[in-house]
Order: sequence, then structure tokens, then C-alpha cells
Amino acid sequence: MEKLVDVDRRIIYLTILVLVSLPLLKPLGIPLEINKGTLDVFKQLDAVPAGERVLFSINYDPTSAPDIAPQAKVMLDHLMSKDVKVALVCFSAAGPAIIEGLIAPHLEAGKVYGEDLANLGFIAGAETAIRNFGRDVIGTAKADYHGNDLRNMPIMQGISDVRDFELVFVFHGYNPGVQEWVRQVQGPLGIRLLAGVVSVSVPEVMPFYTSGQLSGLTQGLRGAIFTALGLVAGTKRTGPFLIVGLVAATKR
Amino acid sequence: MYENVISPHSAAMFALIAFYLGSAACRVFWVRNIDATILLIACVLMMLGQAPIGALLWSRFPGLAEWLLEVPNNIGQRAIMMGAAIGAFATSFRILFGIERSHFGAD
Repeated sequence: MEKLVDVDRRIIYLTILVLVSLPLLKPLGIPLEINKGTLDVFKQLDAVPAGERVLFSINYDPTSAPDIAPQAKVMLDHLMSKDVKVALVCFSAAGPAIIEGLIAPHLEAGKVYGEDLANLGFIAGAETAIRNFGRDVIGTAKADYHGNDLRNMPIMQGISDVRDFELVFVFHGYNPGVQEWVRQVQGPLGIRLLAGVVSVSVPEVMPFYTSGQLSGLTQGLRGAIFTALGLVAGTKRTGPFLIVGLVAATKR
Repeated sequence: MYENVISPHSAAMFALIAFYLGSAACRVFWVRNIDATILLIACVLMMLGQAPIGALLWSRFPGLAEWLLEVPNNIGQRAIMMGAAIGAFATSFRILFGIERSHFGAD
């Protein structure tokens, strides 16, 4: 047993490298299970009527992006395909650039900035900012990332507090994230809140999902699978093609 | 700067964590006592439940992992959150009433 404990760390590194690289180079085609949290998210996003507005809170940076960015991409793609309007805001300094990257393909595809999509930019103040934003969206953000007055943007017409959005989706890479949204906004205002989190944060966020404070929860890279293949709700297994769809979704 | 420096470097740093985690796990999780054994079993079940290969080996691994997350994990997480909240309240109370003065240099 002691010999196992004293094994050279380079051997451990090499083993991990081989085990991680092999399925990437030659996908094994193993079916992925889709858990209840992901199906809940799919059902709720899919039920948003065309023309309604959804808020995305992008709380991740490039460090956690490999795990969570595919979720944000496929969910934004899904809402855009249903002609739902999406406003994106962030509470971390790296967020605006991430949002610009997310919305760029949709603007190139013909969506109109300010009508179908808006980058509300970075709001400083972490938990306090989330609280203020929840209660007074336009008064807190004032202008979008490009300096446009939010009062003049069609997508923001009639928005007072976050209850005016059909639902709010928090993408959580680190704090401030889900816990702050639940504490400061979901509980006091009673909004419908969905979350997508990095795999490592699932255990700390799970109590909010089982208590019903989160209406849906997608977990890490696997959370991106729900629209990668245009999944039909209720399907439990999607077969080996899922891997191809997931890779395609993350490559874009 | 963001596209070509910050983003790839941050992603590379995040990816490297996997190697350090693997090395640390190998040294920590070797069975030494009953606590380490429980932790090891929970970790193995969790990994098999989350990784696609687990469902291929036994169809109940994902359900087992879900149960671990939703029951024992929730119990622990809620206890930590409630304990931290009560602790923060008690510490604030002590500071407000001058009972806790260590931040002023008192013993």
C-alpha cells in the first residue's frame, strides 16, 4: 500500500493525460444520461413564448468557461431560435467580453441589437449590485455595455424589476452567483430562477434546487446536452450521436 | 488581450487543476481509516454515477449518485449554511455590543 502512496506523480499525470486524451481523439460513443434538473430547464425554456424576455446573468470568466460556456451557448441558441428576447448582464469584470462573444453569432445571423438582444454590461458591487439590479433594473444598470441609454432600448421597454422578465437564468462559475441571486432576489421577489453551474459547484447549489428555489439546474458540461441535438423532452437516452452534438455545440 | 491572452491562459490553468487533483486524490484517498474509506466509496460511486461509463456498467449508478447529491450532500450543505449564518449573526452581535474586540488588538 505504501508503494502506491509513493507512486511518482509524473506517472499519475501521464495516466490522466492518456485517459483524458483517448476519448477526445476517439469518442467512445457511450450514451449520456440526462438528469431531472436538465429536463426541468429544457421544459421551462422551451415553454417561454416568442416575444417574451429572458434575463441571463453571466457569472463566469474564461477560467470556468470550458465547463459552463457551452451551456450558455446552446441555451441562447435555443431561445433565439424561438424568437425570445434575451438581455444579458454580468457581475464580474470579464463578463462583458464573454457576452459579446455569445451574442455576436446571433447578430451576424440577423438578430437586432437592442430589440432581440442586449449586453447590459458589468455592474460592480457583487451581492449588493445583484440586490439593487433585482429591484430596479434600469436605475441600477442605466446604460448598456456600449453606452446606450437603457430607457431608449426596445428590449427594455416596460422593465421595472426582474419580475418583468419571464424568467432569470444564472450561469454560475464563481461567486457572486446562484446563492446571491437566491438570497437577494429569488426569495424576496419570488421570481422563477434557473441555474447552470460548473460541475464543482453542484453540491453547494443542490439544496436550492431540491427546495424549489431553483426551478431547474444544469450541471457542468453535461448541462449543455439538452439542446445540442434538439432533444425532445422526456427522452431519457439520446444514444452515441449525443457526443457528436455536444462537441459540435462546444466548437462553435 | 482578452481573446488571445487572458482566455487561453485561464483555460489552461483550469485544465491543469485536473492533474493536481488526480495526484492529490491518489495520496489522500488511500484507505487508512473508516472515515477515509467512507469518503473513498462515496467518491467512487459519485464518479461512476456522473461519468457515462458508470451507467454502461450498471444502470443504477446515476440514480445512486443523484441520491448521494440530494440526500447526504444536502444534509451537510444545509448544516454548513445554517451554521455559518448563525456564526455570522453571533459574531456580529458580539462586535456590536463590544464583547468581541480582538479586531482592535484586544486579547
